[in-house]
Amino acid sequence: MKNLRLKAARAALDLSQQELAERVGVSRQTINAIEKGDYNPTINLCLKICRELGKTLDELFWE
Amino acid sequence: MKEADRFDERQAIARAKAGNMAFLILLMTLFASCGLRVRLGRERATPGVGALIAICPAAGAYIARCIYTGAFFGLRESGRTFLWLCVAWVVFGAAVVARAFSRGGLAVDGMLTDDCLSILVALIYLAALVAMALKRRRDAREEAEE
Repeated sequence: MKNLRLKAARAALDLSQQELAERVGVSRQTINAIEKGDYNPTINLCLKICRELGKTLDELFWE
Repeated sequence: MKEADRFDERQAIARAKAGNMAFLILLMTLFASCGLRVRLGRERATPGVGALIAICPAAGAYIARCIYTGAFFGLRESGRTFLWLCVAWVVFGAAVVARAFSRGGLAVDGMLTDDCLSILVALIYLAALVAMALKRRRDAREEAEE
């Protein structure tokens, strides 16, 4: 399932996928795969993404 | 290991899946090779060449899949060098094909020659080139959709 909340949160901070990927320490394709719902990140990666975007896990990843 | 050398978790999983696929392909080629030996009643290549020929499809599939999923270290670190290496090997393979068929084929006394191995290695690099092109097209599409 697509993660539109993640995409929206990233766009709100005017970050590209590449920029977010560099901040989090993963590849751009990984961020793209998470947003498209093709890959389920680990908790560690979820936390890193939440930290960079200033959001909570509930806001970005939980139903 | 330097931070930049490590793969991220998705890439590590992609490499593991590519390894699984390569292993299955290797099993299939080994079975096929054994079956061919039984059917022919003799070896079809010298032991070294035969073993490497059996490995090539698995190696090619592994490399191509890693490249397509963005989990190939060589491409990330020195993409242009790797690209030219692939092109060089493909051109070399084409030359080997031309030479082999001008000499009458890939087998001598019913045994596959080293030329066959060179061609298979060139095909691996051709698969890598195709994977790179497909990945580049997909990346461009993803960046446009972003």
